[in-house]
Amino acid sequence: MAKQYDVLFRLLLLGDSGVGKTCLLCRFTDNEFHPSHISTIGVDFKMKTLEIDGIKVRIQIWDTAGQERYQTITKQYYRRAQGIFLVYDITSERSFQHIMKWASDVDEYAPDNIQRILIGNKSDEEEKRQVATGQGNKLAKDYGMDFFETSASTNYNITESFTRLAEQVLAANKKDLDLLRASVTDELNLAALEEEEGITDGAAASQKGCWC
Amino acid sequence: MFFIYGVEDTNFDPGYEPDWAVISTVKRDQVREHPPVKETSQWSFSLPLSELYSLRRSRFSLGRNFLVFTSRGGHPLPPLHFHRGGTRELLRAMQRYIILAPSPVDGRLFLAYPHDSGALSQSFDELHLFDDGSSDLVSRFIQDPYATTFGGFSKVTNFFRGALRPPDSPFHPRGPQDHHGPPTADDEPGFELITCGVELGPKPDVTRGQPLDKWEEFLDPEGRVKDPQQIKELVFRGGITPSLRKDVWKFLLGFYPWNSTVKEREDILRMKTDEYFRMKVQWKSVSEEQEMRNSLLRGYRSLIERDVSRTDRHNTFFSGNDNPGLTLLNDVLMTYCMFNFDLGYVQGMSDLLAPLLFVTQNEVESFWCLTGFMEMVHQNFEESQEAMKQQLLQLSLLMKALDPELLDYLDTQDSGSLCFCFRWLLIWFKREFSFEDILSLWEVSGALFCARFFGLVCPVKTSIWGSSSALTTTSTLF
Repeated sequence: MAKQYDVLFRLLLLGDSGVGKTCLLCRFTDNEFHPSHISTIGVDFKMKTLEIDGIKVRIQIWDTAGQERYQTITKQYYRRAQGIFLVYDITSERSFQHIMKWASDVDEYAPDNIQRILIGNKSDEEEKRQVATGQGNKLAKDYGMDFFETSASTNYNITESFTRLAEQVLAANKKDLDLLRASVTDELNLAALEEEEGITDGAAASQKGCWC
Repeated sequence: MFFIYGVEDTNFDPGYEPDWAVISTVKRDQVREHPPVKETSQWSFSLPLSELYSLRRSRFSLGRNFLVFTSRGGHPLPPLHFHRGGTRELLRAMQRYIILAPSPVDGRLFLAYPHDSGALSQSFDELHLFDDGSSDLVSRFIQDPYATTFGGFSKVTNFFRGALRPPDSPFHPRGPQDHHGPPTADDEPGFELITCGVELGPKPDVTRGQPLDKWEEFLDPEGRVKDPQQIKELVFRGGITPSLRKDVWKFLLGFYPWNSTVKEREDILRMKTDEYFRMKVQWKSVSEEQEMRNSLLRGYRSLIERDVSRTDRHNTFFSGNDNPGLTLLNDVLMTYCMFNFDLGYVQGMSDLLAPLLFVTQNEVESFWCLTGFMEMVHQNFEESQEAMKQQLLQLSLLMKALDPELLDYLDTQDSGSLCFCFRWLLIWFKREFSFEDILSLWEVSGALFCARFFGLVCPVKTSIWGSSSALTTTSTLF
């Protein structure tokens, strides 16, 4: 079979309703923009394959409903993600203030090594701006995140921000990825393992006698 | 001991690896009759615990465990991979029946000894692993949620294996996907066609009736509906002629009682119109300054504004920027907040209202039709989401009865919770079919008068008879 991708992982878009999560996603995966898209109910997703440092990365991006009411459903997806976009709308102070709430939900429900990135969307609507770029920068710094102002409408910083988060997830899992590649040989030896019980498996020798 | 182990496929990306499961189909006595190792299919084998000689625990660098069992007869058994953890639970469960002692020369090799004959004779049936004790129930152990985050990476090893092993090797998976050619390298369809083996028999031949027409003939001289049951029956069989929907929907949604006269209906309309505008004035008269101190109302207003601008904009009733239909949507939804402030506005309500506005073409009537509709479905929108969870659970029970194989498959794709049906159920398939079809579906399927039943039966039918494409498109994610 032809090689389609090397690695697959999941990114999640979070943020208040109407900040443009679905539009960011459509711009990134299909290079399309619909100013009056439909609201997301529950969770939706799209896929795209990127090539980063010679590695074919297929990313599955989950798009969530922004309304708090649906969080019992959307929270179920946090723990399965490796990277999270926290999105606000630069023309909505309220959506920016809520980033703190979204971030604390992520801390509570997502895996510890999750990678996060802050997005201030609708940067083309400068005349309606309520959140200064500096504010976004500062918040991102406080949380130790990278920060992008984007515009799905004008296609500004879209690929850049998605690629950055994908790179971060890759880097965070680099060690495992390398080991994984090395372990392919192990996997192929499984057949031999069944017949000859003598194969040594050095990687986890320290686990001797442990059940886990 | 009966294992179904993961059906791995190399043709597509399910996002998740299938898990192992212990199923209780093997009765104690039957186990005894089995030969030491029995491969009941390519994807399962059974082995009496008394025949287990040893097991070796191994671990890949990514933390994925696998176990290799060896029977006393030296039969080679396929390795069991635990993509999402669970070896510990399995070994613990096994230790209740046998002693697993580490080999003195190799700490990763465990030798099996019988505890005592009594314990050994217990079967998995008695382990209470299965809630209802039914013998065909597949029970999956709870997986460690944190281990799943590396599902994507563990997929790679499978991919490489698939790529590097010759197709005729004994480890080549034989999944249901093999009925279809593998996608080409550039092909990323985003969905997958699965084929499940359940025979449903031929699709029943259904003849639709004529749409309900000649409304006047069903009314008595005072304008009462003579036989409401007959109307429901006719609507169920054939739907309603579009021009009549405006009249009939108001009965179906409880705005007018079936036995009301023309005169009474005029009174009702007058009264309900007053009531509507009384509530409309309430939110209309809130000043900007007042609203600053009312975050709930502010929140509802902002959500409604955002959703009105993205509801059915392709429909001529709501298209264009200054369409009066948009104002109607906004005003009716805002007034509904006043009608039921506890529930307020929840996303999805605009989808329910749009067809009602389109059919009634009237602000007041659409509002009261919405309240009638919400009377049936308001629990779906409540914060706890208990009603939705319960419906998804009921749906999975129905599927278990009708197409257990498909449900099992969805389970292996981490979709057994049927979360991908959430939107279908919440807004009555509004987003899954065309606007015109939704009008028919809502009235015909009894949507308007036997709500709870409708929501559950439709998805099952859709998924089983309506080629599974719609289902699988969404299910690959969830």
